[in-house]
Amino acid sequence: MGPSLPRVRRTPRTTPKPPKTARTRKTRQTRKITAALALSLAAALSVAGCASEQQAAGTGGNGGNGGGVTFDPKLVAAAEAKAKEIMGNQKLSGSLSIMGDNSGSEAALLQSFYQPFTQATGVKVNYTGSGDNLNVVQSRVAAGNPPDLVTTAPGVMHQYAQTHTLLNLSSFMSDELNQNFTPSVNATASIGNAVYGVYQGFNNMELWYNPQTYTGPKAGASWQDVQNWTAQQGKAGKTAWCNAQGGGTSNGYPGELFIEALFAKKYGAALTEQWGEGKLPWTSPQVKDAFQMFGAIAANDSYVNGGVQGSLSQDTGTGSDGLVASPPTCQAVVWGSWTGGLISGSAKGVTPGQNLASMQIPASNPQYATTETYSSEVTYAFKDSPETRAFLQYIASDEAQTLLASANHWPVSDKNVPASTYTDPNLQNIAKTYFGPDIQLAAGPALLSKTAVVTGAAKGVVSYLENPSSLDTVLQGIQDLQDGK
Amino acid sequence: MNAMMTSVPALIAIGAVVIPLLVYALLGVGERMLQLVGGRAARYIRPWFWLIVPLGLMAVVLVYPMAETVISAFRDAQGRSWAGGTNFGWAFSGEMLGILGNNLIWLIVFPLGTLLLAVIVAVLFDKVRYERFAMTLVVLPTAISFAAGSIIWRQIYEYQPAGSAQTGLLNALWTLIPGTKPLAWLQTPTINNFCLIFVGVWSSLGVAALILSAAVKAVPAELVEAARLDGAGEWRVFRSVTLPHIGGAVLVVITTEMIFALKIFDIIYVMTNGNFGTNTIANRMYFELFSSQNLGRASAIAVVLLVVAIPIMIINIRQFRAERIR
Repeated sequence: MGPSLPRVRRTPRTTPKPPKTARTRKTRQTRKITAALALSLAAALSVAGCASEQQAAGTGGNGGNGGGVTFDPKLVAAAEAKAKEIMGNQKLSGSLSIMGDNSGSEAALLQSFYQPFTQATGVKVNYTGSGDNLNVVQSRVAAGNPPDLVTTAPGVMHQYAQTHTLLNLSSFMSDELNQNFTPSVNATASIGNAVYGVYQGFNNMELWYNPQTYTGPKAGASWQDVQNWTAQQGKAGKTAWCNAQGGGTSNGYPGELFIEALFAKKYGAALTEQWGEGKLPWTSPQVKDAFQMFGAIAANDSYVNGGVQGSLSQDTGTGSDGLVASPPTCQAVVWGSWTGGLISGSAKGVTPGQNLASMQIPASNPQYATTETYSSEVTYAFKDSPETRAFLQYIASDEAQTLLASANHWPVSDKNVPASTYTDPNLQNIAKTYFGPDIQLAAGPALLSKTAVVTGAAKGVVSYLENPSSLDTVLQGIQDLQDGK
Repeated sequence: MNAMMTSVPALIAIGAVVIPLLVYALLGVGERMLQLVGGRAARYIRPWFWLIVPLGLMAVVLVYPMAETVISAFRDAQGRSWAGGTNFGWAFSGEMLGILGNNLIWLIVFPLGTLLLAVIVAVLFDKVRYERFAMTLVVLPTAISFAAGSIIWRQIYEYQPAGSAQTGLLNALWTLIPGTKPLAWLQTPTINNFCLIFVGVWSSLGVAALILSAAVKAVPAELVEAARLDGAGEWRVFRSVTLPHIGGAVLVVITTEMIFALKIFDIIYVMTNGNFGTNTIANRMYFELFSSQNLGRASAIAVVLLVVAIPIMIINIRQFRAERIR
């Protein structure tokens, strides 16, 4: 062992505090800048958080303004008067929770649409919109805490009707339903003989085109004509179609609707409904044929803008803008009635009617030329209370449906709303065409199937487009979901 | 009851007032009783009595759900009858093999990528005067939720066909290189998995860098000084002095990121929803539970995740303890 080291005693610091040097000043400056930056970022994040919260809650407008739409005060007053009339002598209070899949500006629009009801009755309507609505609702239902009202496809309503007691609308508002909606519309919102849901918007599938550049077959042509034209355009080096499938969590959903439309126009409404109800298997030759008809266009790099990979990548919100681009990158799009609104909202220089129009999708079988598929959602109630009853009566009224139609965002299915309510000529045309007596509405899997099949089919479309030879496997996979395997 | 459970003020009142009052009353009454009992028995019982609330809470929020999940994993889709090992058989066959393969890629690339960048950040930032500012920038993404971050990156990776204006930042830069065509980053197999992993690295780098930065600062300065006096270059100092000293922190970062990789969900869900060969087991679990409503399969996946995560968690916890003792 060596000698022990002397203990080091701590002595008080005697050296004077060093003078402020350029370095310490710089360090302080850096600290100040860092602190200011951190504060600014925190403030920016807080503001962004508040804004997104407001957006999510759909409180983007007050009075008659929401989602960038200013309602006509007369229509707002009429809707408010109707809500008061519905309320009558009842004392309504509290709030209603509604969940649907419209978020952002569409949620704000709906919240404004509900505003006259709140003004008249004092019942606050809390709308929560989410792109993942089906799963969010499912988690609430599984937890035994469903919202008061839900907006989903009718198939999901059927699914919940098996496990929960939903509010039977025919038991207290059958007159309004029969007066305001056609029997076929009411039938799609029914379980058995009773109506359970009310449509707010009602969107059909159409073929959208730019009248100034479109060279394809016009109304009355057959789907074979469309396919021939597509091939001609492909040979000439032009991509005829925009077919954006990239919708984030719902990738492939546009293709699912496209396939249903082709199916309905070849095999008719009855078989389409059987398919939706699970009676016609996904592995049937008819369903396979519809996928292949879709694939004949969508799986061909020469026929779709950006090739197959491009169509799988493009966002559905802007993916149809190629119709009005300069130069145009495509000439036709098959999608819902909301397409005009989407293109007008994201592309410049759109004049509905002049450089953007729609027509009925040509049929493979002339017998089914007026068979039309649609993609719409019904609002129905888990809770039976005077407030939910009054609210459903309000949204089913002519006055409320007229107010919603005036937003020029979606067509509505109320047969008493005149087409002139829309200022957009495309929506006027849709209202005249699709709610007429000649039209046979066809509900397919997107409307009637359970959640697993709808989401599985959308994924199946993506898998099919990635690898068309896997079609049998893809269809078997969807059928397994249908069978709960 | 439902109205109360969905009312935010009611929940705040329950959480902030009712529950603390109940716990206070319980402990107060218990203490009185223990005083009455007195002696050795009271001394023996007292700690267990004070642990009643936390143990009860653990049982309700941790043990019961875990046991319920394990039982559900052996039952059918609706949990009505026993299904044996069918759900586990499914979890290791068919398309699940591809999904497990993706998780394996995440399990290897994500922790290593994060660690590599975090080490670079921690070591290099330690040498500059503007370290705080630079570290703030690196840590900033951790303030953004994974879902929001994924939306930002989905836009950065956005693809437009060749000839169209590239609205995605990455393709806009990529196509500046003469002769290149825009790439579908999220739709092209293999590349897309790495693009998604990069988003995870971007989101997690801040925390990893902070852990390693603290470890780097704890390396004794005299050792570094001595190594330099002995003629060691910066690389040699890093390899022979810094790295051995931050080994514990490195292990903590790796195990933490491995657990994160196992349960990766948000990024996949928002950016591709598992399409284009990017699905992971957590995303599939979500699909099975909420879309398919197959409780058995979802539970089986959860059990597999738990079993794989347990050894990693044990290493992680041990390392944390060892770091604390040091």
